[in-house]
Amino acid sequence: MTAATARLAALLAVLLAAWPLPALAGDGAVEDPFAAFDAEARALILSHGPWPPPAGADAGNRLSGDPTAIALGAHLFGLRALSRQGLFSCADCHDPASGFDDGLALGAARPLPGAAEQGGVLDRNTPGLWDARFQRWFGWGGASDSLWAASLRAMTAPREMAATPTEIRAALAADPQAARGFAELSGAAPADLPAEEAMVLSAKAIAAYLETLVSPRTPFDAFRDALARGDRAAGRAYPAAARRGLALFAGAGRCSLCHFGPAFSNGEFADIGIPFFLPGGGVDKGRYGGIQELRASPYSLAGRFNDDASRRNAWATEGVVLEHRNFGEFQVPSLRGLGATGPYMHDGSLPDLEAVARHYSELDMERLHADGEAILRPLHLTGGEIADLVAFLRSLDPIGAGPPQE
Amino acid sequence: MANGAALAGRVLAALAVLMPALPGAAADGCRFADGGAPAGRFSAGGQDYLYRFDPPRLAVARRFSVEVQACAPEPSALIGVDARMPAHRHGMNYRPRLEAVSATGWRAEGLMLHMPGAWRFLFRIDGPSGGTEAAIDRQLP
Repeated sequence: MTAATARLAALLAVLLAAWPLPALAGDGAVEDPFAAFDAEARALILSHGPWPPPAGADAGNRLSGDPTAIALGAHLFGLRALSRQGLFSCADCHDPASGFDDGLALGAARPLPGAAEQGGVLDRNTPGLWDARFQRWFGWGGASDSLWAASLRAMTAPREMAATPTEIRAALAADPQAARGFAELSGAAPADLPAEEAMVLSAKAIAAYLETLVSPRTPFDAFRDALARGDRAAGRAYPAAARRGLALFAGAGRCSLCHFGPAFSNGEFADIGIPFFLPGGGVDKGRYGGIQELRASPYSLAGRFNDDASRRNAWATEGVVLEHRNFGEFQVPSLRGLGATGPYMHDGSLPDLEAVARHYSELDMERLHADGEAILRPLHLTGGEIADLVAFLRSLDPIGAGPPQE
Repeated sequence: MANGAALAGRVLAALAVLMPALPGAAADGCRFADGGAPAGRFSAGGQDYLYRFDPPRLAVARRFSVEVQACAPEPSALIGVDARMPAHRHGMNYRPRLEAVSATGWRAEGLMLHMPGAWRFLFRIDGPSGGTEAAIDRQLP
């Protein structure tokens, strides 16, 4: 071998080592990562992106997008003084280190007056806050129609932070950082404003902070964008199990009917057969109760605290229909970052994603309303299909948060 | 001169053929007041109506409006616009607000189709012999 031939051979070896070898199907042919998806499925997959989607300011919140408000909101989010007796901050239940969730089946409750020392638990699972800004309604029953109203609801709910407007104003005035930020935003010290105005403004600052919680891109997003580009090499980086799970999700499972769009939620409500009887008696009225509460609230977009003078943003609040089928309906949550927010469902009754997949596999059709939607049916999944569906759902976790397994 | 008349005749004939295909125009002259293109046409109670969406392209879980234009000068009134998914046995989660924008035109605000699939729009007309309904099917997206 001449020196030139040897150099050529060495160069070829380096090039071959660096060249990304295409994945091979069982018969040795190059695998097409998009082959399992027909035109309809591809359109659905593409509709789940791109991520993140564009997001404008919230017309109903004059503090939306304001850097001072965002900084103040981040501070208030962790301020226990905003709750009665300083028991809870927002971050105590919506832990930033845990997907803005608490990792519990049911949220922690504060003691009610005259009740035992321990507060026990709330009736519902604590929802995570990533990507909340892309929802139309807030809370499992959708009792709030804006992020600021949802924040205010938690601050004042008797079994949650339970603060009164006067207590909130006092807490703002007593905390130097809060008072400074508040004065910068409103031009007045908290103590100089009516208590209700101060309370609403603090909720709007928290909402401005919550709007910044947009989850990072995921392995699914990389696959979706590869499909959009027709980039098969990039598509092959998405594990086969996740691809099979995605085919189930968008195909036979019909999950995309409700978990639609870039945030994997159509922003509405559905009855998926989770029991709504409460352990201590009574029922969780779900969306039915949410609409009732919304209509009774002075802090909805139909009220005077909506900063959108045109009221165009109040269309859903004013037009939402209350029907019997709303009993048992709960919010269709986003599926992004799901791995960090278990247990699952409004009552936290499903401990992990395998249990979620099994729930849809073995749906109790007797539990669903006879006059409700005719969408769900038991999927009768095999063990392998359940694993595939879970692999897909885990591919909606941020890149690096635990990549989907083969 | 004769050639000129023949040419003008051919141009007019061509225009007559083309007119219905132009945006906003219909063979019977029925059109929206602003000349904008309709999305379609329906008949109810023996009368014809044009409809269109605002924004024109429907999307899942996005608010939109429906505009309806009667073709008759003294039409029966549009009294309701709704949409349902017959296969899923549900309708919209919101009741649109309907208002007359002219003697022959209406606008329904606040519609939202919350799932992809086959939707059926229902236009209710208060006809001379009672209420009547026209259905238009639409696949989303």
